[in-house]
Amino acid sequence: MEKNSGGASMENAIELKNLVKKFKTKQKEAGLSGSFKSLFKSKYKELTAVDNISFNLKRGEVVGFIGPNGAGKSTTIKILSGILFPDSGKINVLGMSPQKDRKKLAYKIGCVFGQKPQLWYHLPAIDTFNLFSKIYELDDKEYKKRLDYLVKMFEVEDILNTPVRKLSLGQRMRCEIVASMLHKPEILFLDEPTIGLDIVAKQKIRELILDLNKKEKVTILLTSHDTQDIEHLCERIIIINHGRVVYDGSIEKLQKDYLNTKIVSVKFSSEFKEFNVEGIKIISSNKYSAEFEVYTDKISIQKFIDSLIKKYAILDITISGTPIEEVITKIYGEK
Amino acid sequence: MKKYFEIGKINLMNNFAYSGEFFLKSGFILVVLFIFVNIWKAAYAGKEIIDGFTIAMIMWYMLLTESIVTSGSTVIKEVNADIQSGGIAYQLNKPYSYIGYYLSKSISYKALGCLITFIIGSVLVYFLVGKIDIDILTIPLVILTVILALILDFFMLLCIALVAFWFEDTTALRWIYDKILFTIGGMLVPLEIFPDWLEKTSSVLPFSFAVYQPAKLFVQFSMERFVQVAAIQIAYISIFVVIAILIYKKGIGRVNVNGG
Amino acid sequence: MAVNYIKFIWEYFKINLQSAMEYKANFITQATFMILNDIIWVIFWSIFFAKFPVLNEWGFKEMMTMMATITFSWGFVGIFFGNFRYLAEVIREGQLDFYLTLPKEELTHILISKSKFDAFGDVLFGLILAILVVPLAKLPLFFFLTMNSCIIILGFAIILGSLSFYLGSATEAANQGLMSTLSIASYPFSAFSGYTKFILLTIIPAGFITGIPVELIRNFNWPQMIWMMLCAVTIFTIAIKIFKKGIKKYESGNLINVRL
Repeated sequence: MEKNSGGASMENAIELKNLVKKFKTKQKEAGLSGSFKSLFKSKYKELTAVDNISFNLKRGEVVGFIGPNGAGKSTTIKILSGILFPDSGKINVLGMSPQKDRKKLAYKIGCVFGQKPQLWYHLPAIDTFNLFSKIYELDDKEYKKRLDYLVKMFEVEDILNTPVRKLSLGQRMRCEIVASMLHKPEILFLDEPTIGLDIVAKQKIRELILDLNKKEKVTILLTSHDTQDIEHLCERIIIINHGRVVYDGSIEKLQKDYLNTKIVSVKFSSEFKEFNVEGIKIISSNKYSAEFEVYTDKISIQKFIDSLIKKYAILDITISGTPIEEVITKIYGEK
Repeated sequence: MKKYFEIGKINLMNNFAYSGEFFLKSGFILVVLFIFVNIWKAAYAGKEIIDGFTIAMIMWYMLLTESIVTSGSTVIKEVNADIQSGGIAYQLNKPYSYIGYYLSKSISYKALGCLITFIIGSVLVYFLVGKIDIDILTIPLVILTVILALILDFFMLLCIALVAFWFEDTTALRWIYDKILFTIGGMLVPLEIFPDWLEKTSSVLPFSFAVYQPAKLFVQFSMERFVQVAAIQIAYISIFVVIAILIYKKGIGRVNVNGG
Repeated sequence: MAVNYIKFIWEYFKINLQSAMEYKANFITQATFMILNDIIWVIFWSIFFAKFPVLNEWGFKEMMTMMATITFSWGFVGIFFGNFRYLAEVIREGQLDFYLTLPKEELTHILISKSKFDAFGDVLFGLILAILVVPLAKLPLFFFLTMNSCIIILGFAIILGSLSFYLGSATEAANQGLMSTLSIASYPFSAFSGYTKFILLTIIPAGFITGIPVELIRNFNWPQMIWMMLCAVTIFTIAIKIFKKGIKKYESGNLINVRL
């Protein structure tokens, strides 16, 4: 355990080096005889959930942490919050070891798990907020000020006194985030914060999270299966698969490194026959329409359109970037 | 019918999966039996027979009543859950197969539990008080009344569970029902221990037919009594089936009205 | 530090009470049914002791003192540490993570985050019964003894619940163990002697929950008193150790059913 990590990591909120975590799972044979056998002898299989992961998170960063199910995301987050002990590796969260100083660290981190609510279901959110103020031992006056501030920011004044079970999922999530921020944590772990929300609610939550990060400078580690979340919120993305980091860098770089494609859909007023230009691929075409994949490192959109207009009269044109999902799928596939 | 057998089989396998608990559960019933042999020894204080029961008879009696009652069933929880979630609405058109499903599930669970508890407990009871005089030929008949008792208990519980259409939580009612079984149902003590008026009342109520009657037949069989008991068991079962269906229909109607 | 704990427990109690008020009907129903439940037992014992007036020196009065003790202590734990029966469940279902990410000591936090409505009924009943059967001068002793019993109940519950750390799905076993101990502590302790009595004063501390307190109220003597307090401290200390060890195991992630 490094003693000076406090000083060394003033810039970094999280420092992870060579993290390894293995699990033993019980094996059971199928059928009735298998059930009976497992009564007496247990067979175990070893599973490596985290296989040498290293990364650092600067204070104030908003980082997307994504990967398929079973990739090791939750395990890593559990280790970061002190719930799970690693097998080996150096971990430093806000200058502390999560395993040794879990309770101390708890005062400085906030967790929102989309699937596991913290708010008391049958009571109004305000009651949970008050309870949290006691749990985190917040000073009464400070707490009131803080509560007012967060309530305004997340626009939950009107629903403070409504039992949580009567709130919509979006409202509930806003309250969850408020609850997790009451004690001014320096790091926020957001696990699937927009799960189950409709698109309007998702947008709202994303805006609020961005706002939060800007105003509070809170470091955010976000996991989500919705890549739009990542696109909107994170400048940096860590992709994890089979317990290993498969990509760690900016989103633009990701798009640039792995895929430089724009999808251009065109409707023509004259009949479309063919279009051969370097750096493009025709995905599909009909008599009066076509869809192109344009590789922007080979040909710029400007040039592409210029060339197209020279040959055909265009009725309508739509240009879209590669959805990050595709980018990520490609990476999962590659590694 | 085969479908219900398969359901029974899967439940059996499910039970095996929880290996550790399975043994511990039986273990605690042994403890309770042990407690009671002490209580009865202290209560009898040297007397041979009280109200027609020797200590040995009363312990074998209790073994059977305990086996029947503690074999437990989750039917109330499950039906409650169905009603809360509204899932019961999907059973709208098929109350008979819904009930049939739960009946077979419950009986397979309870019969197995009852049998295992009885076997494990009988080792202890034999060790503590020895055996009693029983004619082997009466056993199948006693088993019949036990099965009828399980079925009767199921339908009484079902009626309670269906009350969930009106009251969110029926576990309180379940407690009362359990206490009634423990006391005037005859689980803890045979009805003979009660004062005359209570003994007479309890022995006509349906509860004693789910517990006391089969156990009494077990330790003191008489053909005449057997026929009486079986007949009344069947009668009570029919009554509760009808009540259950009535409550179910009324409850489903309510769900519809509320658009639940 | 103790003050912080008490403040914490009190804050949670307040919020639990608010929850109870939110569901007033449910609260009143559960508490009432529990009182009814207890009254049924009183009636049962009055019938039993009418038939068997003395059980090794204990009579109806001692039995009632015993009932007051068990209902009051069980209820007290249920009000303030209502999750004591569900520790195994909390562990098995991964709810432990929630408590681990918060700055408060997790065992206390888990235990106090629930308050059982029916426990209020138990406490009220126990209180009234105590006032009726315990001589006024001995009431302070009664309350001190019940607090001891609470510690033993809590300790035993923590031990059983912590089995979940070691034995996969131990919830059923833990519940059985606890409920069996409750049952045993609800039967006349005087009936027991020899080995049984020994077991009830060690592995299954039911004897300390009700048996010894009643004896102490009958005939106070310091040896038994100290012995009882020692037992409370021992069981509780062991409980904390077992839980802490279990948490370490949980955090190393090698539980059979850890959620990845």
